[in-house]
Amino acid sequence: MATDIKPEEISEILKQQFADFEVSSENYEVGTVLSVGDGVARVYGLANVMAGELVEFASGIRGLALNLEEDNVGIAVMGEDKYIREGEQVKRTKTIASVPVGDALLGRVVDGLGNPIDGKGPINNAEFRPIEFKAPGIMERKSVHEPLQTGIKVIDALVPVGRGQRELIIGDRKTGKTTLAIDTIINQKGKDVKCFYVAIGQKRSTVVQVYETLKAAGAMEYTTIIAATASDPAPMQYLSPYTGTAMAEHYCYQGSPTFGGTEGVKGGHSLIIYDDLTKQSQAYRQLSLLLRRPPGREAFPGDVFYIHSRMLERSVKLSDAEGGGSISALPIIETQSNDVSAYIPTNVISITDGQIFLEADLFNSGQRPAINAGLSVSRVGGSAQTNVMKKTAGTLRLDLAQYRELAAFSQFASDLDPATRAQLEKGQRLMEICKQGIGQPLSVCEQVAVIFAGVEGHLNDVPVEKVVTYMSEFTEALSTKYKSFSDSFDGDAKKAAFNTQKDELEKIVVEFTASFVNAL
Amino acid sequence: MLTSKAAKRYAKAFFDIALEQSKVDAVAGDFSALYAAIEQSEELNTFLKAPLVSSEKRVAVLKATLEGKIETLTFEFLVFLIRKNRLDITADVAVEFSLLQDVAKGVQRISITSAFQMADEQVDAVKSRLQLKLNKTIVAEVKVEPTLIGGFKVQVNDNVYDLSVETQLNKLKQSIAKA
Repeated sequence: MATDIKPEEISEILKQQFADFEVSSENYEVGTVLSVGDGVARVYGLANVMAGELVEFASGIRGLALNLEEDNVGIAVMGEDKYIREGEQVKRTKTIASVPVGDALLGRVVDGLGNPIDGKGPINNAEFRPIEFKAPGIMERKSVHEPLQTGIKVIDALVPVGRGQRELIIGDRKTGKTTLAIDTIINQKGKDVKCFYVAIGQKRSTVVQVYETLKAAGAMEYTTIIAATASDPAPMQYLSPYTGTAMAEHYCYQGSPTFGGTEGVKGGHSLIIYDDLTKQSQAYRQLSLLLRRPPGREAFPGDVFYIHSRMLERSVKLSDAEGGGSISALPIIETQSNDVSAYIPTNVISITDGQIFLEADLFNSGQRPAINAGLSVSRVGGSAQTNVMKKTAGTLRLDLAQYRELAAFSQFASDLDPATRAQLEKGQRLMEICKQGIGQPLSVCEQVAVIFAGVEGHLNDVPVEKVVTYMSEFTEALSTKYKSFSDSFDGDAKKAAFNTQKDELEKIVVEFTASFVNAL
Repeated sequence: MLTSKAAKRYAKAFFDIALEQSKVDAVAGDFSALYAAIEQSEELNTFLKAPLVSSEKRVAVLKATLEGKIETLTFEFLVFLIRKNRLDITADVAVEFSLLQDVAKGVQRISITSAFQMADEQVDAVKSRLQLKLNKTIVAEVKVEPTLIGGFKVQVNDNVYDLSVETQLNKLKQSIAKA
């Protein structure tokens, strides 16, 4: 397209812009840097600066006014502090930190302040939103009622997540926390949910991997990655979750008259992943200690609970009058050797509406996703679960619990009565049913069919080690041979419709199982 | 400039006493002379701040060097500072004292930075405009900074009125980059 560039045109545009440019006096307030170090600058002056205001150093680096003291201001430097010198001028910007939001950000990778870092050029036509925003009040909300399909059958069956819910993903390192979140993003394809993945304190290479995975699955079209990596300054790592939340809020509040949206428009749905809040609280601890705020338990500052509670409180399901938009959050917490009673894990567990607990032992024994069905709960998701799934998976939790108890007990017994053995056999198959590969989200119909086969005992003739093959072949058959059933499947079917659907499913399961066993 | 809290307290007390005895101008003159001396002489600075010099010696030295040259009241202030073991804040007290004097007299200090040496009329023009705006006597400190390219900047306390070519060019650059 190089031939289309006309020098005269460019000159004309520049001339126009220059003509429009008004020479006027710039008035601003300044302060002077007294000292700088460890990412924190102390500044004298800036008498009228607001808490949380963005300031700009003469070297162009920006900072966040955090501590307003009697004779100086403590500023968190969002850049390399080695370029800031004593005596340097600091300018007020008179704006609370705000970030670009809107459709221009979809498919992009941005830093903790919304600046693009993917080399795809500047973000144009974006609106701006303050990164801090007060969560909606009680009257603007509605309880969670629509499901947010994660596409992972154990989660959708046992710990269902609703739109507007905060469901914590917690576990040791290397237990598949991020994978779970990424699979959930992938499953939102075509469901009109905008996704935001906030990477806090991670390796850049990991962020690239996530980007590639999402891109390969076609999920970047509706996803923004906000990356404050391990090499970014602590203030950026601390701010990036708020940045991501602001971007998610843009969609949620589109239909909300109270919060600047248009009345009559339907609010959008967003999903935000905070990966992970352990690192964010560590960045905040660093910042607080350097600002000389008093340390508390595990040296975290007094307001470490508040930084998480006010952020997660912004995940919301709005009432119909406010457009019914939602922000669902999947915060991630990394534990040390399964210790959920450490400070930050207990804090976040108490804020969220339930948790998905991942265990290293399960993961290593091949049970993936390594979800501990006993400790994982969803406090509000039950009302958001599809009716058919609720009925089908009703006994799954109980069956699994009984199996675990029996399995522990039967290790010592040589002779088992037939009833116990039958229960053990079924339990083993149910455990197999819970397995699912990476990047293979399942539709509600597929999930219900597979779980139905397990719970109703249709798998008794299938050897345990063949259950995984059975599942993959069965889901394939559902999209080919039994396509008419999958197409007509209604997740919300009530009574009569439910019963006919169930009968049909039973027929299909019996038929498929028979042919599968024969082919063995 | 950031001065210690103690300096503010001492300066206020001294100022009130000087005001009662209507010797503010004389004392202020002594303090500014002292401040200039401290700025110039590394030795004087060391002498004032060194913790190893005993109070008696300090008084003796001050007596020998300053008595008769400065107001008795100023000298008494210095001796008082020695007794309170606060001689190290002398320079800060001098700064605070002059600020208090400015407030009492309705003086506003400003700094004018320009790319080239400004003519006296130009400086006066800026001063008279600000005088109208702030309703205070303006005392200007004029600086030359070639990096501004052209125009000037006026700083009143924390507020900067920037009419420099450098800033205008930066603004133009940003407006083109954003368009």
